[in-house]
Amino acid sequence: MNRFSKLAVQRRIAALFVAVSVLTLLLLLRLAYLQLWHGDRFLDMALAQRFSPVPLLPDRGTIYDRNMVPLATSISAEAVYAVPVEVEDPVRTAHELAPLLDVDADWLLSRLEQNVRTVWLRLKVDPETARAVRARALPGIYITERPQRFYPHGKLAANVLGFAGIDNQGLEGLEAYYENVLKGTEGMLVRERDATGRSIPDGLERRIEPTDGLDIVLTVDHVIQYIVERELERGVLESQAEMGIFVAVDPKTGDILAMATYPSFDPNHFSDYPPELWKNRAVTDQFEPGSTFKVITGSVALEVGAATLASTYVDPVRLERWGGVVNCWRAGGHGEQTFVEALENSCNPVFAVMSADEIGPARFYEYIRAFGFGGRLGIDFPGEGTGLVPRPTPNPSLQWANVGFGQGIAVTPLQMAMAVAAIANGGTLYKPRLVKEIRTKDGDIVEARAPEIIRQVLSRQTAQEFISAMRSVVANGSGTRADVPGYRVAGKTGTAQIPEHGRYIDLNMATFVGFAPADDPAIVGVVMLYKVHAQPSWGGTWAAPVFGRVVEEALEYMGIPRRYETPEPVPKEKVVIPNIRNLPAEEAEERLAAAGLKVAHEGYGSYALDVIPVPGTVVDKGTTVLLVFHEEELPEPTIVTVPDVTGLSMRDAAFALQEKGLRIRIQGTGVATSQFPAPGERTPSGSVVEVQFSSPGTSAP
Amino acid sequence: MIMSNRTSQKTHSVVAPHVGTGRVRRKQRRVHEALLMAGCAVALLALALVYVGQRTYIMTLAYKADALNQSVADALREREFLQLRIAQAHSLAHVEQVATGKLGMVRPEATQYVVLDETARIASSEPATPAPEKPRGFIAIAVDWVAQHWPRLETAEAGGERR
Repeated sequence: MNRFSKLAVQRRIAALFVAVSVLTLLLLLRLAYLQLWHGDRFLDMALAQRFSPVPLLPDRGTIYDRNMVPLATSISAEAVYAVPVEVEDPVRTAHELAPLLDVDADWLLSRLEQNVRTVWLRLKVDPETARAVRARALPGIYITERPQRFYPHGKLAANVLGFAGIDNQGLEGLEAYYENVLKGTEGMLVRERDATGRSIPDGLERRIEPTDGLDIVLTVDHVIQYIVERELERGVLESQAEMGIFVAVDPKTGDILAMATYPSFDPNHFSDYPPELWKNRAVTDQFEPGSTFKVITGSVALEVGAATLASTYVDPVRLERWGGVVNCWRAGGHGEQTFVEALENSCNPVFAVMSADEIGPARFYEYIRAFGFGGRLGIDFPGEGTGLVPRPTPNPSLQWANVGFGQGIAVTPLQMAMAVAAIANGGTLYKPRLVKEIRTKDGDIVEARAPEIIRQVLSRQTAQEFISAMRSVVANGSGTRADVPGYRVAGKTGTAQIPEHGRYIDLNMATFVGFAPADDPAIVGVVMLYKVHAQPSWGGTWAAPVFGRVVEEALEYMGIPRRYETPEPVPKEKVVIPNIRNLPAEEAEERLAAAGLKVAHEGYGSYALDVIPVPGTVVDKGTTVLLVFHEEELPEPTIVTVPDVTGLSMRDAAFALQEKGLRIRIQGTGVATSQFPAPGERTPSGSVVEVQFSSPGTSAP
Repeated sequence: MIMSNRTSQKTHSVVAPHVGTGRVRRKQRRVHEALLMAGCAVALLALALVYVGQRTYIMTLAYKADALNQSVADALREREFLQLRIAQAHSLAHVEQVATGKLGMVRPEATQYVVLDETARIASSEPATPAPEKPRGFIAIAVDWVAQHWPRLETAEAGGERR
């Protein structure tokens, strides 16, 4: 028994030895297999786990305005993303996360149910929100940190700045144009890490520092930009236009002080807006300029000696020449008028003759090109439009007669602004400048860009003469509403027809080009209100006041003092007929009555077209003057109920009133807090509803 | 010889204890060696433990430092975010909204102020050789003063007519 058991034990030991040996052999074979056949792969994997390189992302350059106010900046912020397959209960997760991320639960649920590996739920999350999301510890929901682009002023200058995408790459506007300057160079950190991903102290480390992107300093002034955007919005909504553009330029340097398009978008949430709103139409789009182009025709006529300020013209009302007809916009015409009066009256036949006959197509073409039309000005912005200038015909033609008053030619708002700036500064065409400096994060200037002259287009004397004519347009002509007491505004109105599919449509583009102060211009502006639905859709009615309001605030901000003109002494019992062109009917009548004049009416309308005798004429006190209205169609005798617009944004309030056939007059900014007439009142369609706006939750002052 | 025997006996008698002592010494040496080895081993172990302990401590400190660095990074990020909030609060749209809505401020009217040059007016109105003044009543002086100043005061009032 004892012997048996001893043998059994020995056998068991032997068996165990064999088993262990076999096992060891197998392990050795496995080890050899792994080492010899797959050693390199596993070595790589082990190294990758221990030394996985982490990219060191550079800081994207900041974009500043001309006063070093940041308009676009990058900070390292957190973003929430989901791995849909790991989300256990999408419905519950969506409902828990939606209030934290301030997004719609249904939208969130649709994201969580997508069949993708990862999906972004919210970018640019503030630290409190990130903490709240972390605290929930929802399965499949993660937070990552990454440098992200912020635009602290929201929509301000959005069409100029453009935006950077999720991966911090410039996609639109200046962000795209200066991508190579702003983005910097990525670095890398290789550091030994343990299994949990933590850095091992005294472990191996290799670091390649990133190079931060360079900062850009713009010529844009954020205060003027804000004024421009606010007034442009008001102008678009009041005129019931579909779109508006404003370009403000410093005529002495070619610096772009402001450039705005309305409606615009918020670059912080660019994907919430349709792509057509991302465009900077002031640079990329081209339009028929209409009567504002008469400043080019008129100044060239003076330059080549085809006209003087004292030249006289007789308005033929209907000019049948060059195989076609050019009509004066005013029924009955303007009679005999001087060069300046023709500009004040914006008389088409006069400028048609000036272009086709007196200057001549070939010569006029050269000057038009010299003003920068028909080619790129070289602004540092993507997608600059060239405009369209017809080739000159050997003989005077209807096409070139039309060019004289701004038809049959296409220009970009930027080209128009730079051309007017050339007149304002004494005849020098500057290259538009949007970026003033490129500098490092430490403030060292890498590149300073000086103003660049393209060419001298007009002589200083011609420019000075023409400026006086443009001043007269505002003082005595159609640009009344652009005038600002003490700031001597000079300009020209335009009401351009809009061509679509080969013919002009019923809607117009109300425009104004001008500058101030006329004797020492500090700011040039171009206003375009596209497809104005309100009637009358004149530039002097809608675009000129936008310009006036912008210029008044901008010049005050720039510290330019007002200088009041001393009126000519008028003999006793005599009065000067005030300029009431394009004013609302009631205001025009008030001004005439205040001057001691009696008023007779011709036509019907809500805005004064003209007064006879013309403004500036000295007459006896008590004289009856004829107040002429545009031939507006009498509105349908419909009575509408005034809708309640309180609590609505400017845009929504304007649309709500427009739907009822009512007009809006805007006071203040923010949301609508009160209105007159009150909601529910019955009023004729076409009436003006005055709406007071202020910030939400507060009463109007 | 006897001496020698004695000597040898003596020697024997001496040798025997000597041999015993040697064993003891060897034993003692071995013990000493063992003790030394043990001591060395203990010392080595202690050193190893100290080293491991130090390494562990350093590692713990390093991890703490890493965590603190992360906190610093978080704080810096939060500071950046707050700076962004400040920039957003400085945006003119926000400032105007607060000014008009919260503080009840209104846009200023374009008021024309006329600065009255009092010294020039007085100098021009003073006669070259002042005539002796007749004594006048208070009402007459007040009427004169109002007649002189009223139009100017009217022009200088805030909210005067725009030109």
